[in-house]
Amino acid sequence: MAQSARQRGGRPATLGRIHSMNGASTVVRSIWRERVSYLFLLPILVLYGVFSLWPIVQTFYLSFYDAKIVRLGPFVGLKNYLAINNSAFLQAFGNTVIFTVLSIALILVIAIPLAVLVNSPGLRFKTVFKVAYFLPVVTSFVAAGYIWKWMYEPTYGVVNRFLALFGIHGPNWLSTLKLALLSVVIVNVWKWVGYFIVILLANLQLIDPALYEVASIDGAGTLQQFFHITLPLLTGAIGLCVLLGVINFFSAFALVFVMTRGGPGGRTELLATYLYKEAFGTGQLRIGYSSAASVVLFALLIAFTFISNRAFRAEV
Amino acid sequence: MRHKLTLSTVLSKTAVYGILTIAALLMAFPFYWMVITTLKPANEVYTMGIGLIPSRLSLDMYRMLLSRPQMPVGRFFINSVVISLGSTVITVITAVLAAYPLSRRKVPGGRLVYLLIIATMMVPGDVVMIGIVLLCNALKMINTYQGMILPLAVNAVIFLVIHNYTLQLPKEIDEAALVDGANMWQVLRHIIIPLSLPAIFSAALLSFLCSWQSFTIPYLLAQSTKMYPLSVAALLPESTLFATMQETLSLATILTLPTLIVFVLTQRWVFGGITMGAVKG
Repeated sequence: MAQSARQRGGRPATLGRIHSMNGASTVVRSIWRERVSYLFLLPILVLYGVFSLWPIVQTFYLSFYDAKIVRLGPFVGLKNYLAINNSAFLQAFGNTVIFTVLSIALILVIAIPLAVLVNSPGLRFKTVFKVAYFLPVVTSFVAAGYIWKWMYEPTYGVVNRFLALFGIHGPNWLSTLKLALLSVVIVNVWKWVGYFIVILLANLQLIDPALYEVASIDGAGTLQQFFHITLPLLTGAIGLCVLLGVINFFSAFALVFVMTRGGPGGRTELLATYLYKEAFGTGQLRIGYSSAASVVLFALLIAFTFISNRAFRAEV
Repeated sequence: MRHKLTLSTVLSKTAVYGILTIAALLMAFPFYWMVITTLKPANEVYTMGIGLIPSRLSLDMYRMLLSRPQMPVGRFFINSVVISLGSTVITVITAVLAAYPLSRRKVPGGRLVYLLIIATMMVPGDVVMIGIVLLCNALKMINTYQGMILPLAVNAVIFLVIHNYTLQLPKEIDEAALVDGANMWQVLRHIIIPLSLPAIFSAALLSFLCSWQSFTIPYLLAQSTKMYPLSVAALLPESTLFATMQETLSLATILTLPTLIVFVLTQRWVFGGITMGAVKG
């Protein structure tokens, strides 16, 4: 369907090419005709240019200097980039990858079945369920971090109190080396899963109910319908979820900052908290070095978006 | 066949409601626990037992918190409101102005502008924190409202919500008005904006909920306590030695409740906005 729309979209373009053979004046004329449009575009261009594009360009520029916050310092070429190859950065990078992949996987495993169930025909209290799942999404990361930090508290926290009811001595969730990252991932999943349920639900509602009727007449069971109708038709939406997950989780900051500050022993250090520490956290103000690390982060995000966009489009 | 009340359909219906209800309770439980912890009498916070139902409810913690001069909670609240509303107004106005020509007119270079706006979604504000701090420093906007508002006003999702909506309005309506001699500004004001009000309202809500939560940018740019929004002020109890579970969670509650209330009252439009931004995506 998207294919045919693009083909239809192709026609005015060829017409435009024929027009432009008359000379550049048509282009100038159409630009002049749209002069008010450009006036309307000006505010957003200025805003995004100054507060999004410019900081990115500046980060890129600073990454080649031995910059401190007040002065630029000497040009050092690729030195900052070569310095990135150290164990602290690589640990933060590895943690970020685990954090992102694990969060996305858990969210999809929880969100897809819940969205399908909420979408079941004739279900009552649909809105109540949706609202309940969405509550964490509209909660600030700082509040979410503190709620869970205290819920995880080893002696008085409700998680271990609950486990104690069954005679289980709960661990110290946030300071046990092997558990800390997983504990943070659980909070991240709780915080985001509702958002993905709503996105999946919106796409589920686009599926023609007749498909299920035909399938059930043909004798397909609920599970078969899920795997042969629902899941294939959700591919695009799942792709969008993965993309949104990567963009948001790869740059996650506040949750970890509030709950663990990257500890214990750097086990929950993420790229964004690492950048913050190097730039502002230690008083060393290694702006140039952190900028280089930021550039690596941008590059990864942009590359991933392009790759997934390609895969996504091939799918449609 | 589907309407026949067999044992298996009753069982499967019960299972569906059961699963959905358990999931809903799990999602909502942390909020219950947060609020109930702040309302317990102080001596019941650190007792053994799971403590989900206190012997009585007390507002002592809130009274204490609000009476402390080094913790101007009212001021934090106002800061949060100013920052969230300020960035919402700017985001929505710039998005409406840009969405109209980009979705309804053939503007040379328009596609490029559209892609540039969307591209900013790839690089979220938190990742550019160094650049934003240096920029605001150069513009003398550290520790000011505008310094916190303007970076937060960059939110391409809001633009997408409005753009996707104006894109599907029938082309004839504004074309007819233009033929009748109306100018673009009149078309925007009297046709596009009134028809897009549901999308604009949804977008404004999303933007408000989003900026209210924002932490990184205000944390880096607000230097004095009196400029802190609630999301940053929630860290204050931890920075002092007398941080208690109750105190921290009371501030977290004050930070959380406004968005929860706004969301519950307007959920239809919030969900509508997410759908508009995501389905066409």
